Amino acid sequence: MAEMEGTAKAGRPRLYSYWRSSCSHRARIALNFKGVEYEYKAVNLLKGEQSDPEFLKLNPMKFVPALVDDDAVIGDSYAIALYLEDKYPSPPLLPQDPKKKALNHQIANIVSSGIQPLHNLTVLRFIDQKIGAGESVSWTQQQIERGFTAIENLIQLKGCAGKYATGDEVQLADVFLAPQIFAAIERTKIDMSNYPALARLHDEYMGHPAFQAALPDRQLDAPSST
Amino acid sequence: MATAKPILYNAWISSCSHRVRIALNLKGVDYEYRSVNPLTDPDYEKINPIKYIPALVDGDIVISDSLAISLYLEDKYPAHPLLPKDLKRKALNLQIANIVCSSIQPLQGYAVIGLHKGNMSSDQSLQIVQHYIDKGFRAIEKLLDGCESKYATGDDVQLSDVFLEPQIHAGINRFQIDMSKYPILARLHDAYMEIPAFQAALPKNQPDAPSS
Repeated sequence: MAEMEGTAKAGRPRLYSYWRSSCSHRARIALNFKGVEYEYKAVNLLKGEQSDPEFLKLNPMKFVPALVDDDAVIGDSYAIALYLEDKYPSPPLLPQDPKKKALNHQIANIVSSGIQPLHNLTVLRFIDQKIGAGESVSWTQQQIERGFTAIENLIQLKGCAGKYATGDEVQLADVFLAPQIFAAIERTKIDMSNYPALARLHDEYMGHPAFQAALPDRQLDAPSST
Repeated sequence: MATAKPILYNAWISSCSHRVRIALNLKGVDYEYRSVNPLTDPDYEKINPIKYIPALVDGDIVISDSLAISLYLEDKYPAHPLLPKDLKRKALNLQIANIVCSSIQPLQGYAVIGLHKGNMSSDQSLQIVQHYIDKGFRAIEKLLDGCESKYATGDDVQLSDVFLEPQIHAGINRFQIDMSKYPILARLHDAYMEIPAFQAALPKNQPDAPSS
């Protein structure tokens, strides 16, 4: 059920999100992890609410998430994560160590540039329309498998994984990995036996409160279970 | 003992590599250019097992991904900062950079590879590329609406400019994009072409570019 229009409580950021959107899922994890109370404003992508004039003013790319915080309007999950990192430094999502920091950015970027944009809703519709109906299904699988292979190799190679992707603390890489792995398992039915490190990380994320509260079916606009 | 120069594994025509070349030039970092084709170069996997370009090797650190490299350079080489301190302007720079590197270039790459592999016709490939460039450029024009500064987010070149120019360049030179539809970006492109760091990073000026 979409949240009613109302005045945001003073000082609380407002997150425009769709329950199933992987990019919105990242922003929700980051906000929860940093203990930031926020107002959830649902944008129903299937009904095309991302094209509403009011939302277009917030994000001309017509993507969720968008974060409104006082007079800051940010329509990109990566930019949102780094904004939150500056504004709410504790707990931190980026390590000081330059190698680990770079590794976090690499992993986040493989997800945000190398996997998700190649299988988001608008792209899949475009592929089905222009290339061939149903092409999008195997296409999605290929993109995820290619990206997961790269990340699995990177994690194994760098050897910094601990409880989480780059150590024993949740970091930026985890914020980006968790929604991608969740969607791959739940929606694309990827065989995670090829990606043991990612499969293990998924179990860790599912046990962490900040990640649990960010899950799609826990959001205000998730359909009620039948 | 002299510190070894950082090495950039890249290719002249790679849009992602173009971004990093600009960043390195702006920051005055003297680097070694190594041309590589990850699809055909078997030794590259030993340097960068995930086989993406560009990759920067700086001492014992190996980083691939143009945004990760840019943010690493921002920390290590503070000359000519690419990100403003102001959180709103910083976020705008990151948003514009991400529109390019997540919402335009990967789809462009997909269509270019599709054509190369024979999975799609040249018309289909071009249509896809133009569709995504147009969508991204129209959004960026709206985000920059009213921009009167010399560059995208101010009078200094910042991260958004580093990511915008390679995309505009590819649009003009490879994908028949009509820049008159994007007046702010067209103006910015002209401004970038006045800057030596941008000139030196152009694909045609790289050691592995084909001679005309």
